[in-house]
Amino acid sequence: MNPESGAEVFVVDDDPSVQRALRRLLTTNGLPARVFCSAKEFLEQGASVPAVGCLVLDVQMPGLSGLDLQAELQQRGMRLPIVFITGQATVPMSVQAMKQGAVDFLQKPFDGQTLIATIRKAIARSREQAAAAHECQDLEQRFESLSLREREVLRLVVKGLLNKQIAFELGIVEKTVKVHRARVMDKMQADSLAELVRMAETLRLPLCSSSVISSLE
Amino acid sequence: MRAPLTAGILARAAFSCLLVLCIFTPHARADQPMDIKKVLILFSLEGWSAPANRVIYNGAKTVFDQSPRQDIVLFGDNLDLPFVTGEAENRSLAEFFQKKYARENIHVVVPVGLAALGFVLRYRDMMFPGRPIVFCGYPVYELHRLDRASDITGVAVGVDIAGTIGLAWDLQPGLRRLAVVAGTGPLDRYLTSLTREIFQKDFQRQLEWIDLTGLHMHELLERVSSLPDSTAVLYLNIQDDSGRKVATAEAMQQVSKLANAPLYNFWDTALGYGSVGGRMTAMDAYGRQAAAIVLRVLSGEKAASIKPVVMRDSQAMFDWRELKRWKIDESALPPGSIVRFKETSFWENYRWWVVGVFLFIGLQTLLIAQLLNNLNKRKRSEEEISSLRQQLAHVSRVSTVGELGQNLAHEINQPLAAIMANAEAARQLLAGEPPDLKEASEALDDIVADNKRAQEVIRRIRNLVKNTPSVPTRVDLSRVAADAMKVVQADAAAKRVAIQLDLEPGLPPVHGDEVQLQQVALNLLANAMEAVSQNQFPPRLVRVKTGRDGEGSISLWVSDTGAGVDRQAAERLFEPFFTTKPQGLGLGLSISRTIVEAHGGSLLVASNIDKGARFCCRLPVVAA
Repeated sequence: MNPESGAEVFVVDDDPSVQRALRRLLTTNGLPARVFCSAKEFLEQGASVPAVGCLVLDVQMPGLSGLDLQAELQQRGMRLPIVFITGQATVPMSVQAMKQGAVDFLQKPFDGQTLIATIRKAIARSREQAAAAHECQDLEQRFESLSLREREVLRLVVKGLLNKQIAFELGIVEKTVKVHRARVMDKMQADSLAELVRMAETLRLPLCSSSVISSLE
Repeated sequence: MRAPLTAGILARAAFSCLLVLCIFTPHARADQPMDIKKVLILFSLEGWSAPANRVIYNGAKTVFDQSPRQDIVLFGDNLDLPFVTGEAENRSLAEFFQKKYARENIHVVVPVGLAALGFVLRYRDMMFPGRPIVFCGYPVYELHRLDRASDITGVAVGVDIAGTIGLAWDLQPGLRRLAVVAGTGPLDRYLTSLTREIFQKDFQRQLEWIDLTGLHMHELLERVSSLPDSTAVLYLNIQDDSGRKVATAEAMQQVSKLANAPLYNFWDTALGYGSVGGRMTAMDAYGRQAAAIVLRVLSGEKAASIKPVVMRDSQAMFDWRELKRWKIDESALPPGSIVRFKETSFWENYRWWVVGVFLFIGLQTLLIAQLLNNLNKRKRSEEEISSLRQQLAHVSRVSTVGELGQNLAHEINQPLAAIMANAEAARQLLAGEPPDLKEASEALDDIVADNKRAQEVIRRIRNLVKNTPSVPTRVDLSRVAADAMKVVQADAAAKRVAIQLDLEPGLPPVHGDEVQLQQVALNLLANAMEAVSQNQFPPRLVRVKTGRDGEGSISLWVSDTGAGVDRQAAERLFEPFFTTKPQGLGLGLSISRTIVEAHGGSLLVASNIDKGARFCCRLPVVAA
């Protein structure tokens, strides 16, 4: 019912009154929030990050800054969308943040509703990302279930070769190709060639593990 | 034959030698007998004539002294002639003088006055045989009685009796009587008869003659004190009080003192003894004229061949004090009158002193005025400098705030952000079903707190930016440091600089301007932060410390871990417009030092042992 269900918002800001105010605002808007006073604290305690949610980061903090934390999280493969808030924004700072994939860059003092809207947008993106990741994982499992021959047949089918051509390529009879092809369609749960092609493309996305890609070659 | 010849030759040789000596010694040597000419001035009487005698003698001496002749010796003596004498007494007196001057070999005799000349002429052959006589002061009217052939000449004088009576007539309008005062001495009697003659000739018709001659002194004094109106007293001479000699000057003074009419006289030496004045003859001219004739006689002229000099010039002379006494206006005096004994006014007496003193006072006043003016000017320029310094300090503060501006914005934006968030939350909490009043109230409390926080930031900035005259108060240096720290903390965060505070609580206060001292702290902090932010690697640390520093002083130390200050730069660091920063104006430290020194303190820089620089701002505490 609630699109934010299961989503969690992490706030990292060194200013206690800003922490309190944001927690209150988020809670009031039905967004469960966890508040940290520094990037270091977040890295130490925020290990159990859910799939869906977002990060609200203050840029200027003692120790690691918001931008530093963004880089660190990227390195750790943590993909929660980030909303930056700052008391003092500079153009280079905001450009860097946005380039690194921040959802938005809000300057204090900001409108409460704007922040909420931005956070919702971030959560939605998070959810999409989570869904995409989920689908990718599913396809990978299906792909894993294919035999080596079936994977070869899949690669050539997606390449657009006819069964006859595939048989020639693989040095097998056409009839055998047809059997493999039917199995591939079955295992990948693809209803049509078009869907199969899309699945193959999804598997080639960077989201998919490189081992899978290389095994395709 | 032979001997006389030799003697003749010797004598001639001796003469030649003498001649040569004479030629070669034009001035006689002291040990050689000089041909000295001796001149004797003989006076008749002592007493009243004493001043006259002195004046005549001095007049003559002046002439001899001034003459080129150096061989004249002047003697002065007094015959002191008795009035009524027999031949025997006179002769013995003459013998006495003959003996007295027998050895002196007097060349010229100068008898002064009628009696002296008479006496000298009478005993001349006994006293000064064959000597020329140059008389002095002999009445001109008696000149015809002298036997000029007997080697005699001199100065004959005519006292201006008529002129003096005429003067009285002119000065006393409505004058009707002339009281004539005289004694019974020879001169007295002579002058009396002379005056009577003149009176009868010229004044008989206008004036009544009151005869006050030959009276006893007490009688005379009584008479002169009760003279009728419109009377003038003509004081001729009193040598005696009925046969007794008197001191004539004193007699005249006495008479003048008691007289109820002005007293006139005709000898200038009498002036000052109670005479209002008269047409007077100058006695010292008598002496000088006589001396001039003596010089002619000594240089070889025959006395008989020199015509006697007649002196009858008179000069209207007056005693200022007597003029006042008789209320005779000075403007009524004849033109060219000489007024003696004038009591000069303070101004006349001390004119130059007065002028000098006033000039001195004037100059001093000017000098003082100038000094006061300078003092004022100096005070004014000091005030101007102080005002300029304050403005410069203000400008510097504003520029510091400007530099910190962005980060100060952060300082304000932080509470504002919290307020916005809380306000939004509160609105939703109140709009909820049911409204969460408790949480909304807490949000509002937080809003108030954050508002105060923002206000505090603004207050700090305004304090630094405002330009008010400095008001010295008791200032807590630790609080100043803490406030400065709050102003820069956002900047410190942005620059990744850590500030370590070590502020001693309860320090004794310093006396000064809190804003200015905060400016110093701020400047030191900003510099330190700037220095450490250049560090590529940590630590980027600034230490701020306050504490006691010796007797009666406290200090604020601001230490950084920056590049430090080299010795050369350290010396110039506090100079205006000296800067090591690319964008610095170079005024911060200069102004800071000015402020600290104006507070009686010192601002110094030293290098830390390990790394960076350390500034020490030392201030005197308020005496307990």
